[in-house]
Amino acid sequence: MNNINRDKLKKLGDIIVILFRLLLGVVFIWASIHKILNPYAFALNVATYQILPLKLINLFSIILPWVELGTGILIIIGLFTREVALIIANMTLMFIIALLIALHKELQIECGCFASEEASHQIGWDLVIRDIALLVVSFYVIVWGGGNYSLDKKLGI
Amino acid sequence: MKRLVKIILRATLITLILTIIALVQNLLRKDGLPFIAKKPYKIYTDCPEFQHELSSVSIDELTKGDTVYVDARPKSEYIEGHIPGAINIPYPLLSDYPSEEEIKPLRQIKGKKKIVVYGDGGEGDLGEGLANILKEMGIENVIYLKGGIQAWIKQGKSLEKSFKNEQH
Repeated sequence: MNNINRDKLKKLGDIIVILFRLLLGVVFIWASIHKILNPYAFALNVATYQILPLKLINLFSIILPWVELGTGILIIIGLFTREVALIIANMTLMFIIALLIALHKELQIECGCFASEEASHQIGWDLVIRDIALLVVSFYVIVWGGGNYSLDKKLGI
Repeated sequence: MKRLVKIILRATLITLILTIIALVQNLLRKDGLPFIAKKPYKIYTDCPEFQHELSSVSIDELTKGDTVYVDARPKSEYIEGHIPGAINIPYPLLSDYPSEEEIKPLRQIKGKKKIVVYGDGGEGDLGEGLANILKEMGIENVIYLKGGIQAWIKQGKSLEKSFKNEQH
């Protein structure tokens, strides 16, 4: 009986982790595309937060979108899932800190996440809450791993 | 514990590989950024209405000579008394811009003549407003007189009167 319940839980957890992997993957891939296509616009967004020194703004703006894209793809296919979820959690934590600093400074700036006209938000607590939710989701993936339906499982990583 | 260290090491390695991909693609693409920004980013956009800077001049800084005065007040007030030689271009209250006909004398100004716009000197001075509009219309060397006609009168400077049909 106990074993059956455990199996059910395991299955449920595996299904949840697929949904979470898809969610994180789509969010990060989607967020990266605009930044990759418009490096200058993204760098300007980064500069607007007034957190990084000028010397680091461009390097950060060049690297971050590709880490987002790479981890987004990897987490969907489930390759090095825990590692990738850890990177995603790190990035999300970084975004939360940046948002809090910006909110503290009361910067009324466009959020650099989805910079298209429709998707651009004013920085606000709703974004902090969204990022905290993403952080929780990525922690779940770190703990659970890729689950049964992942390349990790197939390759035995 | 060992497992956690392994995960962290792998995560670092993955980040490193993605970093290298990012740097290489930046080098290869035409619109790549310089790795280190040379100039500070201009993070605040200008006021959307006027994308220029407008300077002002105080009554004490006015110099004689190459100056054209523009009176931004309504015609009725202009007739009552204005700075000698001033052209009347009433601030357009009913439209966004004065007509091309009205600003024709300003378009014809050549060289480095200063155009000093003045209003009544009150709150929300018409002179400053008109100077902004003229600049927006492409007139160069436009400044406005701080304090408007009131500052001029306070200095005890003379005014010129016009007759109703007289055109400057």
